[in-house]
Amino acid sequence: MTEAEVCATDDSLSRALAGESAAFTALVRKHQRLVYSLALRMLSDRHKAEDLAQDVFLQMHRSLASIESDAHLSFWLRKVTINRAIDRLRREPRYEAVALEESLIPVSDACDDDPLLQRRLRELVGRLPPAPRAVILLRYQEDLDPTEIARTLSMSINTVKSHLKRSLAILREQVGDTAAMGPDGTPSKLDHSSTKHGPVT
Amino acid sequence: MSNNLDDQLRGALRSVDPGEEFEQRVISRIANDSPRSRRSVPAGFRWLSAALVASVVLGVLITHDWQVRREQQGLEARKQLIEACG
Repeated sequence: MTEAEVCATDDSLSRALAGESAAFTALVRKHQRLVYSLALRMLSDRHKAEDLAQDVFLQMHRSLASIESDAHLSFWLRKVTINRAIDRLRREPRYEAVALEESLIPVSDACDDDPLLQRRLRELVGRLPPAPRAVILLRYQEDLDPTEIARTLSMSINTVKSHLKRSLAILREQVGDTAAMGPDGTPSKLDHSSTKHGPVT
Repeated sequence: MSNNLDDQLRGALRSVDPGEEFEQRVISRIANDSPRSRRSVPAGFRWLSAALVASVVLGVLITHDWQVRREQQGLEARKQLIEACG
């Protein structure tokens, strides 16, 4: 959690509701990573993601009275962001997700991650159909369990599990070439053992 | 060390910061979002409202016209009756 996020406490919501603009700004600061990242991974375009994220916060400003708590706000933001992104992808059927400008993506904090493999994974996730893509993002970006994902996307848990299983199988299959051999010709770090345990417990 | 697909996905899909100016851009958009535009209704509803108002106005005009004609006919009949009796 960043310093800005720490500053934005639950109390920001009630103060924002009372009309305090600084409190609303704190809420935006606290949740901007969540909203922008979901939008970016759904749309695979920085400008469209920023536009969508702004729309979501505008809607949040108008709907503040219906938000009950900070947890409810996070749930609401995820739901609205994903729904808006899916709507946008449906309105632009010819729009094909393309690889993000990788140079603009912050360098990973962890040293033991395989950047080439992660880049390939981002590309492949961006090519999944919107609904499975949303499920994968909520699972691996937001770390939600299938029940929470089902609630966020208004899907049954079985549908969520089915999307997860199928999407992971596709990713595993398509990433195979990348995984089999690392960039330096050595075997990659990708271990297929996760198949045995499945993506969810 | 990350050594499975789950971990690699978590690493690949790590959250991204939108940039320092983002919150300012959001606040600017909210400031430009006037109460008038907030109350705006979809175009379909605007057309429906306009059609309803036009129907009511037309109905009032037709009723008024019909009442005026009826009064004139009554007056005419009264005049003819008076003339016939006289």
